[in-house]
Amino acid sequence: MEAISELRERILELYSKYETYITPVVRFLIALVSILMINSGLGYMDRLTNIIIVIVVSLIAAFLPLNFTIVIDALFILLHLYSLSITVAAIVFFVFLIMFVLYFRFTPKEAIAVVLTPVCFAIKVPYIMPLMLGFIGGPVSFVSACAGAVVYYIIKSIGADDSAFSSSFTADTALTGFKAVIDNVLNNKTMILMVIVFALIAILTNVIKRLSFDYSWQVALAVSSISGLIVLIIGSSALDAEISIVGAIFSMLISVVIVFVLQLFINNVDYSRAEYVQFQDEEYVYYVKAIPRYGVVSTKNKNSR
Amino acid sequence: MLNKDKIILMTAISIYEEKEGKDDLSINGYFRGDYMGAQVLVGAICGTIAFATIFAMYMFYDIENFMVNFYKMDIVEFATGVLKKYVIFLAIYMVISYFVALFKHNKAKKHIENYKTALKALYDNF
Repeated sequence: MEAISELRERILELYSKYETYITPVVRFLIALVSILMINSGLGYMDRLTNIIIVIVVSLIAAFLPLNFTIVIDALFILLHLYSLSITVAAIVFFVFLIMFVLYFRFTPKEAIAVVLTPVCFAIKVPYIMPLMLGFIGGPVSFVSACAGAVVYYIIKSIGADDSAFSSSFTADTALTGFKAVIDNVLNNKTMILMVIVFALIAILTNVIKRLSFDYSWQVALAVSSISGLIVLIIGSSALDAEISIVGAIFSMLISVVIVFVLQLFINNVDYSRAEYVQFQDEEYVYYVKAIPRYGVVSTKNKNSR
Repeated sequence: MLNKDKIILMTAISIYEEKEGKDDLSINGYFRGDYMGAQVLVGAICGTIAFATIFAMYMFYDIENFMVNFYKMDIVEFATGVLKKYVIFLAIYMVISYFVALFKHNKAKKHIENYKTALKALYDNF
């Protein structure tokens, strides 16, 4: 365990030193993967599927705050859907609007979950999001995970059966398209079940990790993932949802492993980026770069003294 | 002569001022009552927008039924029903906004107290 903590400290110190270069790369990858996922799931507007445009937009997103990526992803979704049907684009716009005015205005940083949850679904490890939100968020962070799941299933249902939608805007086509989307969403038992499972996982994780006993976060990870699987299995037969139980078990296992590794870097670390500040007193002007240190002293340095 | 302790303290204060301090100082600039009132008002506006959007989507979904039954229905009763739902929805959302604002204000106040303690330590010791 000491070796793992040392490795963690070295990696985090390395990140702190070179975060000026690493952070844009990470943001670029998040933007690129999310846009590619949206393009492959929807892809109705040919211009937006042009790889040059995708790379240029991702490069811009690399140097701007993460909220820009969220706005860009929302725009890509709306533009693709506009190309398919104005009505569908309007519905999704209103869904985004409702999510923002009711919840994300309180926690704008968690809006990234709406982007990352569909990405996690696409790479078959959706349970990462509620687990991570349970660990790093607050008691109501499950709302962000559920919102991400809802957005994913809306996009998926539209992409799976777009025959009901027409690009021509008449009263009849508008009403038909509108009803098709709403019916797909409200009758989607898989979506309802996943929203319940996400909420359960996020709430259990958050509640248990806050308890003051040793290994609380490991227990939180185990209890919430097992509970989520149990509810998923029972719910899929009760609601007759289309979920592969074997796939869900593998997916949960992989999600747990990934979150376990991530937690080694996040747990109990008041992690912050290198800070650049400037101030002055009567004698000097100070230009300070503060790099955070972590609790574990390197055994290599200890032995050489 | 560089004073290491002074630099560390000033750096910590400066980091706070540039990061969380901006929001905390902005929140602390209001009287608590004013801040809570403003947040609840914003909550009322956002709640109204959300309700109007949901209601409009519901009406459009069920517009065929609505048009068929329009001449048979009691408009006043319908409007009263909608208004009741709106008031309940808004009341719940404004209460949530109130408690979120209260939590943020208390958190900001606590951070500001720590900030003032650090400033005092800087002034007294250096």
